[in-house]
Amino acid sequence: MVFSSPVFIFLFLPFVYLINGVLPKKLSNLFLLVFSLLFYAWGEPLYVFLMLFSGAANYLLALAMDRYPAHKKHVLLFTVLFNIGLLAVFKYADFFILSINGIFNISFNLLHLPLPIGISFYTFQTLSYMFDVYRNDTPVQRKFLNLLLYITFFPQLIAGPIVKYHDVALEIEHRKVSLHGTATGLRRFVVGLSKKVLLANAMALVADRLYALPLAEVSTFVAWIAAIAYLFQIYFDFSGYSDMAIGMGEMFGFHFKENFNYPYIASSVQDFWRRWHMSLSSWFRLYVYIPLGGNRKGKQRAVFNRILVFFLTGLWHGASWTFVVWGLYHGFFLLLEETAFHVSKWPKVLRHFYTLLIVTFGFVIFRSESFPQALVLLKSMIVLTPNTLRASGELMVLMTPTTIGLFLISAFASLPIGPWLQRKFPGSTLEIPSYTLALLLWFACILSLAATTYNPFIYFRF
Amino acid sequence: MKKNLKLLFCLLLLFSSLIPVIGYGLSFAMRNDANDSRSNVPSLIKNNSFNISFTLEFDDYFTKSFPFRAHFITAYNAVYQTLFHQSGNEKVIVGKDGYLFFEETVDDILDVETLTEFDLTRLSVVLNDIHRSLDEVGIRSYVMVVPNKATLYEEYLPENLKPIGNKDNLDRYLNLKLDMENIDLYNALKNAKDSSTLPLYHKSDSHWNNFGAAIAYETIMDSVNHDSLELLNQTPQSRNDWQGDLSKMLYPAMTIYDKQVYYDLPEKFIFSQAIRSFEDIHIESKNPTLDGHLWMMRDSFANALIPYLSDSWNQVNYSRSFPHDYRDVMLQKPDTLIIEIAQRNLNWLLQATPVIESKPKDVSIQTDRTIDLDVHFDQSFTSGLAYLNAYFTDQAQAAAITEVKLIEADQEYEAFPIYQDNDFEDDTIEYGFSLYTATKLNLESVKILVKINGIWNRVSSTP
Repeated sequence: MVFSSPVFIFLFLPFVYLINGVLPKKLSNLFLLVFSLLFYAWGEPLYVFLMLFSGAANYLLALAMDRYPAHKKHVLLFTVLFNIGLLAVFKYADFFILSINGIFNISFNLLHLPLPIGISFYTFQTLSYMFDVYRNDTPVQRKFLNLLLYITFFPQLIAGPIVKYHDVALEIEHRKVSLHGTATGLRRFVVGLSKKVLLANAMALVADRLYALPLAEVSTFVAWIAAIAYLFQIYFDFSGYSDMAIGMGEMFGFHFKENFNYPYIASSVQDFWRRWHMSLSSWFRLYVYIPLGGNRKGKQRAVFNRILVFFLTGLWHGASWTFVVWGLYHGFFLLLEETAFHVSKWPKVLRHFYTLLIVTFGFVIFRSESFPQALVLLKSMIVLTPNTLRASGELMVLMTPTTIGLFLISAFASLPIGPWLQRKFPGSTLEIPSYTLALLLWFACILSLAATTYNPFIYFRF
Repeated sequence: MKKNLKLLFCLLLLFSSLIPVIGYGLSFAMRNDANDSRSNVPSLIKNNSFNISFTLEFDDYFTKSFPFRAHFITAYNAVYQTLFHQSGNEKVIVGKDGYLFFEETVDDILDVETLTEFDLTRLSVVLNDIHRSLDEVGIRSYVMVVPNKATLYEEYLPENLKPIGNKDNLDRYLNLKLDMENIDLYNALKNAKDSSTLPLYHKSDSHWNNFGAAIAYETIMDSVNHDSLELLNQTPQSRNDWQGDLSKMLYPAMTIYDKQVYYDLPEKFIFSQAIRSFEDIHIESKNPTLDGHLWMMRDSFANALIPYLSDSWNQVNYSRSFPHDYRDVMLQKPDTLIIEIAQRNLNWLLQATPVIESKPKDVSIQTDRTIDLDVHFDQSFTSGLAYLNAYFTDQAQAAAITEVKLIEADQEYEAFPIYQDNDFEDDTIEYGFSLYTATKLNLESVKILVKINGIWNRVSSTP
């Protein structure tokens, strides 16, 4: 089920919220679990059993780890192999087979398994729980239903943020649904919905049409407009989803950590990764980079660790070499910043410009269907290529005054205006305007949802 | 913020999210007038078993049909148009003075050449092949392209849409030399527009009105040399009672009337079978007092022609099926056949194989030239004919192929230079060839001849 679909907005969310509000507290977890499973099964009626199987297996493995502390390393190793194995089979099998076929010029048959929605997210959440239990950061969860609720809770189930177990362990058992939480949660939900419905969807129409042009039609102008449209689309799409998830969490008494912190104002690639998909970056830092030694085992090892993390970050996003190259590309610039660039000594404006340029170019690789497409687009962005007749036609149709206005609004909305206003007007001065704005945005989203049909979330496929 | 205000905010949001459910509760009709709302209520049990697609079907159904959706769409488009002076529906372009245009005509508006010179040559080959087949059984054939509204009324287009190319597809098509006779509607309508105060197309519809259709009708009758109803000698009645398709897309909850004109018609014809609407795939009209049998391969523009033509011929068959199916035509052998197609859909003629049997002939082509091309074949036996659909792997090279012939067992078959994919109504022309034959061809021995730049080559690759 998609957050920005009429079924979710008009049926699922209000009913689940209202019924949860009147149920006795002790039934809340069971109720939310049942409806989270329904939420998942709505789009994945068969793969819901895979998720249940994974949850049950991890529950038992955690109990085993707790019961046999002498063998917990072995149990953890098995757990990692089990979870990564599931991910490898269901997400990466065909990618591996295609790569092997290509390298060795052989032809193993592809499995053609459909990708279970959100498998990357819930697998990483499950692993977070297992690592926490292994490291005694949190006691083992003895109630299967509670663990399952952590893994499957619908706001963050299919596109994050990746919630770490220790961050919500307490709230799974003790939380409070309040009027304040509902109001701020709903407001946050509306902000996320608006990012998705009013901005990301509009940017997607531009990006999709321009990326669909034959490579011979790609001019410098087309390539830049497509790149900028996608830059905004992916940010508002993904951060919008995170806002909705965080907002709904608040409505039900959970407090999820932030997933984005205005990444496009970053002053270096390193800074960008502290602001973009923070739950994934911190997951890799906590459970991969630091256990591998981080930067404590010498420079060479630190470089290897970084590159490995960025390789995995790219691969996590999808079973394609373009994602891997995108991850390594970021890792490469991060290393350059530490060794050759010394970005921190650059003028501030130059740092922001450099970062935005690297990120924009990176998303061209990320968005492209293939390396030839990525290369043509990147080349056209750098080497002046005139518009063809068809490209001019596309741009004339797409770049209406409204679209140009939406580009400007998107740029404006990528800046930390909200935090700045809060600093400027401390206290509750902005509360009434912000709730009023949220209400207007809500009605705009409802009308837009009814009238338009384009609605996919980019991060669903990860 | 005060607690009460937060409560009010929460109540307003939750209440408004429940509006559609309240609509169900108050038994508001589920149907709305949006174009895409014709979905059926899904059922959990289908064919005596659990419907595993229920959730998908329900999503689709609810998204298209939830109560008040038509009102929401109407409000959205009204707000959008007021704020931004453009359409909130990507399929509709808001022009000047209340004129609405269909977005799919944009390439023609901009004069961006969507058909290449090779495409145009292929188009003439396809039409000539059809003409030859029909001519062999004594059927006179005509082709008639209906100009887009924007082609005739470009002065009402929004300022940001201006032609940037030299010629649109219609201009280029009109310059083609065809064996099949062309009924030139563009010049007929253009002259009528210049000499009459009546509009030819509705403001709020993508189609012509009854006056535009009458001009087309008289042009047809003149071209095929058949007695007409002399509609243009009448002064038609004008009424404000037409609901345009484009305004319905923008404002489904409102009734917005456009002007329509009406002629006095004899109305002596009957439909052979009851029809649901003029949109039906097959319509047959009969009028025993008249002569002649007309067959029309048509689209929605012909809806307005049906009353006129049916009152002018002994029998008229209107076929809206696509790809065009000529099997019944070959059986019934009408005197006259007209292919009517909208300007915006000209490319469809290069994306779907006409269902017409390619008869074997003596070999007429000899060539020593060869060309390396991989071909993917798909041969099936459907609807009483064998259908061969082939795709050239190297599409860039195949783009220049304008004619294709097959030789099998010392017999030559004319193939259409058309590859028909699953979505033959999209705007992507793919290159290959296809044909219908009485029996399946032996793909092991068939020779493929392709014409490139006027020279025949034998394809060296065999299936």
